[in-house]
Amino acid sequence: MDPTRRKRRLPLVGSDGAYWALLYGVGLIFLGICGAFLYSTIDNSLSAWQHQGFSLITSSNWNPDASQYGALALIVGTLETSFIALLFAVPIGILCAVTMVHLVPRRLRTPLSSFVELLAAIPSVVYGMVGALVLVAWFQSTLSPWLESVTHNFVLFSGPASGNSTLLAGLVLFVMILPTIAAFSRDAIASVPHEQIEGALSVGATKWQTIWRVALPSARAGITGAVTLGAARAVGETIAVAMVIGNATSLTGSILKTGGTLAATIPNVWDGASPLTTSALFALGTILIVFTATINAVGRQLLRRSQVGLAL
Amino acid sequence: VQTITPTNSSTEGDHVNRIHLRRIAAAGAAVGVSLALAAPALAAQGSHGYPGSDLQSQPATAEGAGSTFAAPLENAGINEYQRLNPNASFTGYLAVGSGAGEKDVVNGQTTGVDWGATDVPFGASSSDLASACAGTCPGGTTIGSFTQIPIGLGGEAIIYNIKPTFPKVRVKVHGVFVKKQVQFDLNLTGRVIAEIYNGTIQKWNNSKIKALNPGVGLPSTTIFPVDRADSSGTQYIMTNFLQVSTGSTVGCTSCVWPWAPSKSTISSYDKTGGAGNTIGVAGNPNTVNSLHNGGVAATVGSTHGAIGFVEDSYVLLNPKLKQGVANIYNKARKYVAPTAGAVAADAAHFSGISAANFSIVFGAGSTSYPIAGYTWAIVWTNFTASNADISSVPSGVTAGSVNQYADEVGALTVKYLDWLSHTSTSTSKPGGQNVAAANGYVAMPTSVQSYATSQLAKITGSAADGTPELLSYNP
Repeated sequence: MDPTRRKRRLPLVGSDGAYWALLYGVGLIFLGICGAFLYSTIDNSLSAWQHQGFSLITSSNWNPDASQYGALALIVGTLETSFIALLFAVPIGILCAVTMVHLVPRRLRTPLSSFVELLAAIPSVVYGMVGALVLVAWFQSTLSPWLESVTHNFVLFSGPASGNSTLLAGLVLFVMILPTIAAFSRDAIASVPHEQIEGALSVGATKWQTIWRVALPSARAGITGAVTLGAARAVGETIAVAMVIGNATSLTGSILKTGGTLAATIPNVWDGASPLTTSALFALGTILIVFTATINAVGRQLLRRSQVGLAL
Repeated sequence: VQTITPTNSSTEGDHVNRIHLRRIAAAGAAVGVSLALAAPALAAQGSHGYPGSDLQSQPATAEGAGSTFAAPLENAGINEYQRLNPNASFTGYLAVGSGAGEKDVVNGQTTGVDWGATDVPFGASSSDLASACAGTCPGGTTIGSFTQIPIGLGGEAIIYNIKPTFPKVRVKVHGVFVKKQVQFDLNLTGRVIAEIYNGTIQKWNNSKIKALNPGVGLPSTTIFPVDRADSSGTQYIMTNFLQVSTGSTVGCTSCVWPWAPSKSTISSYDKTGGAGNTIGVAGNPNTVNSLHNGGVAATVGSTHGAIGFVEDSYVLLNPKLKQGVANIYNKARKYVAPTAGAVAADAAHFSGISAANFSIVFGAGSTSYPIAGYTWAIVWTNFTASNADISSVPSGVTAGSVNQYADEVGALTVKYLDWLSHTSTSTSKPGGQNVAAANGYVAMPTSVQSYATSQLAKITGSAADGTPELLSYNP
């Protein structure tokens, strides 16, 4: 370490000291807000956990009137809708990003990118409205019967379908998080150094090989971040889901039938809820926080593994 | 300031006097002088044509929230009231559902809501209030803390999204037999609707539906009952009708409709059957739960095979729904469509309407439409700075006059609700109930309008500046 540099940093006098105090202060405020938020969410949920115990996540009997708070159906619904959304949004979003960076003619890139960013900024209630007023009828009349017949009414795709369904919610979420994943992945892919791309091309790699072997692996960290963000948005989406999922609170088995998610149930039940029910809603919130924390942890783990892979 | 006994000449004048009085008296002026000066000038306003003129100096702003059953009425009412009284200032009406409206008004100071609208009033005792609040009432509140005013009367339409084919039958017209279609909508009974909702009847061509509609072509489509996902007064009225018309009681194991609507959550009867109930609506996997009257209307409109319940005005608002509005079997064993006349006929069979006695479903009379209800406004009996919304206090108001501002908000709220709950004979200045009748509701019977007047007369302003003066009128 260069001793002169150290010297310059050490004495915290005058404006320097104020500067550090400010930074630490802001940092502490941030920590304080997050801590207070977590504390109040968990603290408020305690009476529901005490009342319901572990069956809060293992029972599917959700009946606030009878003080039954089994949220299994809501947990399953959250996982189902998010899984469906990611199943489509991850590959399509990443391919969109690759297309925008490497395949689309240069003069179209900027307008196309702006368009994707515009889509990412549309409020979710608009997606919900399109889903509820436009897609529901098409789902009921066309898609659901087709899926039922193709799968021979396999339990996951069994009818009859009203249109309002877990699948529709999943697909609305897919459309909603697609621009998020595409926009952030594009940034990641676009920031891969040109030298790497040109180097690959210069040693005779095809464009496809360059993208697949060089651009995407280098951008892996950013893409993982994009997917994590998309997944978190899907898990926590409330209103768009509430408008199309049919808000059932029991397990139906079929993704063509109505379902419910943790986030969508909170505003439905919140009005006029008793203190215990409110506490149960905080418990749903706590489960949601655990979900998003898990998503982040998995994202980080993937990232670390990929970095190790690159280093090797 | 002493409470002024209202005279019978001009209700508006009295009120303006009272507001002015307080200020003048505070300044040491003689009460009688101000009365004498102000009354003649304002006496010409006529009854129930309240201008908001006394609010000019401090534009108070009032806000309502609650029942989606009442939403079209409140929206049209506020518009019309503001047209008649350009100085009256409203934040608006938030259609958040009855349960939320009750919650919002009891917590008025934080929510900014001055009157809550609900289809299920708190009732008559403090225990009713406690169950309605479900533990969310501020400490020290009793049933007397709130005043409950009927503001509207409406029917609930049972809407469906299928297209039955109705037969042409031989009827005699001017002495000649001709083939003519005489039935245009499905006939349904409370029992059949209950069995549709609880899953006993799952297809539109079920024999029980056919039996009510002889000769009508019904598809084999699955029925998707649309329910409310939120805490709903509309649903309470519906459940109340199913319960009364099928004669079921809570907890029975063999009855058709096992759940009485519960006040604690304004009924979420569908969420699952409790112990001992063999019929669970949650056991009907085809049920779709939607948010609010508007959500139910939208879901029924876009879902083939759906059936749902909405306040009549939502059918007027959404022409797509007009093609499927059921005739309902009433107590006199007749099928009746939800027309204004039929709802009025039903309401006419119930007397002594009050906050404790508000159910008017399944009334007698051959022309009565059996699914109807009143919608209520709930306000604090005392408008003071400690319970009313004073978040919108204008910048000119000093801390000391905050209670006075609460009075102003209370006065505007009371004047609006008074106007809203009455019929006017003036064509140039329609009353709230005239507006209601033009928007898919039914004008409330005069006895209920009188009850509204007597309820409004209980409301007072803040006592912080002296005696809490009456904010309402005794016409």
